[in-house]
Amino acid sequence: MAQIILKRIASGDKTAVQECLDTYGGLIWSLARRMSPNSNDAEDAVQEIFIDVWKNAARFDEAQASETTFVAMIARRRLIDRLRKTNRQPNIDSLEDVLAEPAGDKDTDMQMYVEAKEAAKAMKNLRPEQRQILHLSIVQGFSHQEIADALTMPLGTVKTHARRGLLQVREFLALGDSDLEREAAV
Amino acid sequence: MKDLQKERLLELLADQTIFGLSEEEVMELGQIKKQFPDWEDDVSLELTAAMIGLSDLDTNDMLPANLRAKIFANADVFFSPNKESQEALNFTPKANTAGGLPATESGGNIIEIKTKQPFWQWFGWGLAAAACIALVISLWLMRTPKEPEIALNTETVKTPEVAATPESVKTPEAAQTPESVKTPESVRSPESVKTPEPARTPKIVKTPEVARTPEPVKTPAPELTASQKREQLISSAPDVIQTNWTSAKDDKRVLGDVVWSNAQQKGYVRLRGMPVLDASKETYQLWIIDEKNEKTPVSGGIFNVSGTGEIIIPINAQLRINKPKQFAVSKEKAGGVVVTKPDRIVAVAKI
Repeated sequence: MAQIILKRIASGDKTAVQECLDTYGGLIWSLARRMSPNSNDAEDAVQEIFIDVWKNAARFDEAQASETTFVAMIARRRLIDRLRKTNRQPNIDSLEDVLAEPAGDKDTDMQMYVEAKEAAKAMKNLRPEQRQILHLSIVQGFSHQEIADALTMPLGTVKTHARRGLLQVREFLALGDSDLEREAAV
Repeated sequence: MKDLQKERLLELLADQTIFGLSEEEVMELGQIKKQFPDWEDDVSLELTAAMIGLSDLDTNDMLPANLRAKIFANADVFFSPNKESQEALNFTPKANTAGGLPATESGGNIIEIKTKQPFWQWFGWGLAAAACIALVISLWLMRTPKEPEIALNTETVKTPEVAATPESVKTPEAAQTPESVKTPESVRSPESVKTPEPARTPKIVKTPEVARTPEPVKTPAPELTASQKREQLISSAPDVIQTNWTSAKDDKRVLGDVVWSNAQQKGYVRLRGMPVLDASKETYQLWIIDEKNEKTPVSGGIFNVSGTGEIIIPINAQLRINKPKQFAVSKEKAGGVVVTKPDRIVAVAKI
């Protein structure tokens, strides 16, 4: 049912806008609040993201990913661009907390996106440092330098863990060409 | 050789997705992609990151109603067959419409739009409008009540000093007071307003000066002290919360409180009795623990104290706070940190 929203949007069906808002409004709003310095900025970002979604709806390929993942990708692109333009300082997280409760462990009463659960499963296959760095960078929004400082780890090591972790998660989620990864794997 | 390049391609794509690339790396990626055209439009790493990024998001979050309404309004324009209407959203032309996604800093396809006019643009229009209004008012004031006065006292009107002084601003108003209306000069028929045409010439010359006179009258409000701002927040924000500081270690006494308005995302810390630190080596740092994401304290800024007297510091939250659960002050190295440790906390204020 939800998978047809973007196709309808792409065909110019304005009635799909309401469904689009019902289905992805909360998701985009949550992402925007997490990655915006304040609520005004988040509101602007959400408006931009929705227009990005409508504009890119025709590019959605259901064979490649779910509609939710595609929308989240569009949102993430916009939010990252906005952050980089404003040089926002990222939020901080306690290193102790991250180590005590690795990324992927969630509150049981929180309703998670199916895609997030899949990603969490994939993340559990990673080495702890890979999982931690991916969480700090992708979920928390830290830069590689900040992660290196926080974890007292060389910059190159941070990048290497992040790259390998991302490629492994991609393979686990069957989102890419595993042959190429194997060739590139160290 | 090609294997190495494939490896480098994946490295760059991963870096682009996670951290962003430098200009040199963007150029390098562009060069390598030419040898691997199949990777030109690949978004698998971005999709992977997007799935990871869905962690910690609650599916029950709702879009605010006012924002939803704005998006609907945007949809009206976006789906309008009228291309000019779409221009109103300030779309920039798509850089690439052939399936590939135009490059951006994050490596993705972004359609540049502006959903709000920049503040300074509106401010400029506002200033222009205010100047026009001032001009019209000054013209009107000079034309109606002052005609006879100017005719009688042209010299006075011509002198720049008079035009610039507040008294000269008041003159037209005085001419409109009931007393002035009672005077024979002020009992002006429409004809009397129209008749002294020659007297208008000096007035027109003077108009810009009259229009400018409000400027010195607009004395900027004195900057409020942090204490006054704090009081203002307490008196103006209906949702303001207030809580007291306690020492994180029982052997030390910390006095003071925190006031915070979640609606305004604004607050102030008041502290007394904080030990003075060597500012070249150490600093205090404020943290806000959000109820919705306790594992991720938000930095509220760094500060130092020069004495053990009372200080008031505005809270500079780096992110929007959903619902504060606790505030904390830690002692950190100079310049502050991005990650603190529990043993660095010196004071806490629980809601």
